[in-house]
Amino acid sequence: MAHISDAKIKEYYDVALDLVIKCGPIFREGYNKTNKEVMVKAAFFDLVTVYDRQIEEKLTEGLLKAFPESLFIGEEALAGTKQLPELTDAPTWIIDPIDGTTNYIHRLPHCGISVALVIDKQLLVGIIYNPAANELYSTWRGHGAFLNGEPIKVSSAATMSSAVVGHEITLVNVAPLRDRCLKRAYKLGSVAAGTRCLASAALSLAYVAKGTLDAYHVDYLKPWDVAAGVLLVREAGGVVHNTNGSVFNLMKPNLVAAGTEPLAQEIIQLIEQSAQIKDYTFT
Amino acid sequence: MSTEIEELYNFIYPLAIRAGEILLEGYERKEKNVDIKGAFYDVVTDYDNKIEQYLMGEILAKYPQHKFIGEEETAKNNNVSKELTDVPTWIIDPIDGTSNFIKQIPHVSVSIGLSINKQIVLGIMNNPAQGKLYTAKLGQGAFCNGKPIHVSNCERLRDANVAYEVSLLHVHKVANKHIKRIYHVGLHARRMLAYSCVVDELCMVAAGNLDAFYIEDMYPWDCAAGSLLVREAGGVVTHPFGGPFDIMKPDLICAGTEELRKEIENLLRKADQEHSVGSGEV
Repeated sequence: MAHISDAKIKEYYDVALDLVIKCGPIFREGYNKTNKEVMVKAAFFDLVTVYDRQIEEKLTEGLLKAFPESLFIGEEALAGTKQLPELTDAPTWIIDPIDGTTNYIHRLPHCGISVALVIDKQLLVGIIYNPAANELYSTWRGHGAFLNGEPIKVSSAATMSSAVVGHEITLVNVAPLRDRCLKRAYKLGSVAAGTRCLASAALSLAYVAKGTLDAYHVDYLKPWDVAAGVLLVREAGGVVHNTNGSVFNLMKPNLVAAGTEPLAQEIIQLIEQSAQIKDYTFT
Repeated sequence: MSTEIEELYNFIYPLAIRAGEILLEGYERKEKNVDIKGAFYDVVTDYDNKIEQYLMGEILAKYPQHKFIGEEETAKNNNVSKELTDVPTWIIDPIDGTSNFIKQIPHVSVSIGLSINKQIVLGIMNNPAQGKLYTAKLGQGAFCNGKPIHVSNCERLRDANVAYEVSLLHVHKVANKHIKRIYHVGLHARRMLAYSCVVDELCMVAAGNLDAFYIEDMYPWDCAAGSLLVREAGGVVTHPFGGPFDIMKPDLICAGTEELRKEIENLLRKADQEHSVGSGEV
């Protein structure tokens, strides 16, 4: 695979950023509607709106026009398929038109458009735009992370006792994850200074990049939920590992993201210990 | 009485705005974002005191006979008490969501409630991080930034966004109670969420952003104003086991509909009947 110049990455970044910003009005129109038409997808906890589809179409069209070599891994295009396509070395845009759809439907301002670019299986561009909170997070590899054009950095919390940690307790409603989710919620919750469950992976990762959350853990999601957020965290000085301590895998994105390595490791260990919990009586 | 409430509302309204400005100033300070413990708890205490003293000072200057509900240990004058009487009594939380205040998670609020004859008659809650000012007067509806708000009409937990204070797992003596309840409620909810700001969570139920919220072991000032807002927005607020809501021991379930509230109550009861959570069948 040919070396990608910094200038070329910047070109991808600029075009993507412009397109994402142009999706703002569609996002806002849907967000402000009190009675949105909502469709249930695969399961009762999985919703989508017409705005998800409109935004993904607009992004895909615009990116394909500017970069005909592009491949796409997008949430709505792949809805209903059982398996993800294989990630190749080709320039691939990973798109979640609205991450945090249930928040979007309820006008909770923790949702956003998430776009990432991967080439040679490397994350090179990441953008998360939350028009409901006027927050535009952006990054391109090697140049740090930004919120509305201002540089952002992760926090320096190195221990759980001083950390506010995000996780998704809501996954307790997914039968195969229930037990694991509950045990981890207990383990993390009993040690952390605080926990938050915001139901948007993209925004939660952006919050880690900004230092607003000290760490975030989630399993079971899809590449488009986390791709941009992972790059943001790393470019903001943080770390992202696979939940089991190995290297993060974008196509099977179980993760622990944190501002510092010691905090990430402590969380990984707590999660491992949580698997040992046999009896839930905590008296 | 309604002209009295009107007068008090018009009096407190600009104070609530000003208190929100002070809160926002503290919220936006960058140097806080270092460590949640230690040095910058001082910053929290500073702003907490500033806002409390501002509000109490202004209120007592005009209404020296009014009372406040607060902790006796921090009582600075004879107007503060632990008991609710018939006298006009302000129930104020200068900063709810102190960790969020420190971390810049946009769920923070100044909460101002007023009780007359032991009944909450007005409530103003200001979340300046989101630019939302929630207001209610008894019998006159609920508002956000002057626009009417209404609870959702969600009747089933399966369709519901529910908030639960998951951070309470940190408190060892109630961890078992909460893990069981989280399990049973979370099992059936479309989304379970946690924000660590009770005042803002009550506002979110009133505005229909959340469909239901349950909390226990809070102080009167966390729930007084918010409980009025939810009711004025058309929602229900009761004790977790269905009895009347008590301002002074404000354990509650609140929801947009009684059906949803009842469904949650039943699950809390079911959870409490178990000794522990297993990984058994639903």
